[in-house]
Amino acid sequence: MTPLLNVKNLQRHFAVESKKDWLAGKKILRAVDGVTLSVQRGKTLGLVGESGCGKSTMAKLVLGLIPATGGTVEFDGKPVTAQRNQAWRAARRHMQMVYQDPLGALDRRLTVLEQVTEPLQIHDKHAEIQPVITAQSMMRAVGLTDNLFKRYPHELSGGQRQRVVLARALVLKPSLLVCDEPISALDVSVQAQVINLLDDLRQQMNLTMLFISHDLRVVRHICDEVAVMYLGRIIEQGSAKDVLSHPAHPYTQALISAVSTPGAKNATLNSGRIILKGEPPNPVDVPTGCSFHPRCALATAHCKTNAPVTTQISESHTVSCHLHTMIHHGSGS
Amino acid sequence: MTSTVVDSHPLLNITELRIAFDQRGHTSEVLHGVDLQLARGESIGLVGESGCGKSVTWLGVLGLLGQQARVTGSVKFEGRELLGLSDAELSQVRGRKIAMIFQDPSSSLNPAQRIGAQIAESLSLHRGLRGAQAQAEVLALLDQVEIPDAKRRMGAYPHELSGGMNQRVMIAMALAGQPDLLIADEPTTALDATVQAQILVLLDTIRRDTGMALVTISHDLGVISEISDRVLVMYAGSIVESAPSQTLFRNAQHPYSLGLLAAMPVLDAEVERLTTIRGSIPQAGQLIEGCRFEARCDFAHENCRVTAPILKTIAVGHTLACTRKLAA
Repeated sequence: MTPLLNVKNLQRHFAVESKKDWLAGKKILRAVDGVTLSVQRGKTLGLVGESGCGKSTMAKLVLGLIPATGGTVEFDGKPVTAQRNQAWRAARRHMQMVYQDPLGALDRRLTVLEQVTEPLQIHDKHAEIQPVITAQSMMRAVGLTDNLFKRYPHELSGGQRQRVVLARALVLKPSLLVCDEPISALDVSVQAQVINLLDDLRQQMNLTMLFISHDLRVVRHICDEVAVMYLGRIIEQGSAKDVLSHPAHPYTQALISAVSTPGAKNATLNSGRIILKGEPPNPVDVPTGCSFHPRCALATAHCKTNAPVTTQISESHTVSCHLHTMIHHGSGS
Repeated sequence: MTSTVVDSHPLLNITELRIAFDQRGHTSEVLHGVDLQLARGESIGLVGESGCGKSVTWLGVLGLLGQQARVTGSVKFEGRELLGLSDAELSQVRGRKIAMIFQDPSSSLNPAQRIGAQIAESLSLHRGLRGAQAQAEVLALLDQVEIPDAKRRMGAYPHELSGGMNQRVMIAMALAGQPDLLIADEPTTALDATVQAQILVLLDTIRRDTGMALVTISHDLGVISEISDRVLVMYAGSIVESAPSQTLFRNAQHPYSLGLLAAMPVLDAEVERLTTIRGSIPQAGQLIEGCRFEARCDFAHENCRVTAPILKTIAVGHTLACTRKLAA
């Protein structure tokens, strides 16, 4: 079966000017540097990593909001380019986006019903059912009550706003939903409500999702597959269970170790916890060899000079780390 | 265990703290009588959702709420009443004895001043250090918060440092007055997961080294459980449960605490469906006669709508404001 979303060797570079040394000219920031992934219809892929690793740039590339420097994105078998032509507009109604901050994503001068109706007025000009009626039923489906329809975004709570954003994204019945940190701005009890809602909608509408988050607990709950990004590259990928329960890359191991578990004081803070030294390097100066080596406790001289290749360690689990390449080759010979 | 055993000389003793805001003629109360004691060197955590009063409590204690706020009750720090002090008197305490760090370091630092100078300003203000003495102390503080290459970094502007580094600078500035109490308001929320772990370890180490008391405010139960001896759960302007961390996470009693714990997805198990707390928090200033959580509570009974529960001790160091358990 062809995947709904197929990304091959995707690259996006930005030219940045060095502030200190303007004579040195422009440097290249490799925000996304050769990403290959695919999402099957009806599945959810979680994209995790720290800020600056390229997660959000990936979202924009997948939706064709910014042009790629290299590589290809295929949606439903057709290439996605950032050219604002008819093909792009036609494809756009099938791929929708949910952002982190719902208040920033909504138009403050429109009532929420008007905002949910708007996509239908743009894309569904000849619909048989009146757009307002479709919008109302979608809003009820995401758990908004009729008395909220005429309100403005500032009159709603954070959870209600995110429901409006979801209704607006889903009213066109898209096949792909890209969520960029959809619940980080919400309170814990509301987060759980929105996660459950996403879970329900995904099943009802057979949605395919690209779920970008730094919260591994949420990713584990909602995603079928997980890809871990570090400095523009995917360093580990596989089923959510494999990657998060048996992480193979030292970086994934550290990320998981950094998730604090309530009631596990001392056990996590003092012993057994992997605390990474330093911070993610500036993506303008990506370290040579394996880009994680300066922060890796297991790095060897080999890691400093040679970039690791992606190795398959089980049927649905790949990792880019010399430790595994060596084991793999060792057992193979 | 330092818990709620009444200390005859607590570092901080808050009784019946109420905070209300005047808004266009009417007053809305956001904090409904908070009692809290803190011993020297103790580390407590405050959890709750946005608007529950966990930050406003401390802004009220430090007199940072401005003219519209009415703060009543009593806040005794080292036996001295803080409420009603003049600004000049308060500034002897603020920053010097009680320091506070906030969620977003980059908006708390002055973008146009080198970080070394910003820390030196705190030193001159609170400890009267100047010149070479201040410079030496800045270096020592940067070392204490584990900023590598401190000599060079002193001359950096906040935008040249990462979020984690800026939060370390904020901690260094807070430590400049050698405070007895540090209030950390969501200290790691704006930071990446791996950096968050570093900052938590740092705060814990500094507290152990200096013997200052630490109040951590967070909505993240995981963060709180890692660095606090005692946890207070707040809901809609009141403390609803307080217990030693281990007890709270293993044996929480308040339906809201239970709801918060259950609403969190876990990393190492398949959970079909997350437990949610239905409804949403009451509006600030909304008059509620009985228990504020009643409308969202699965255990609510007739009486909950009528009488507001008060905090009662149910075990050593464990207090609860709910009639559910006490009635049994």
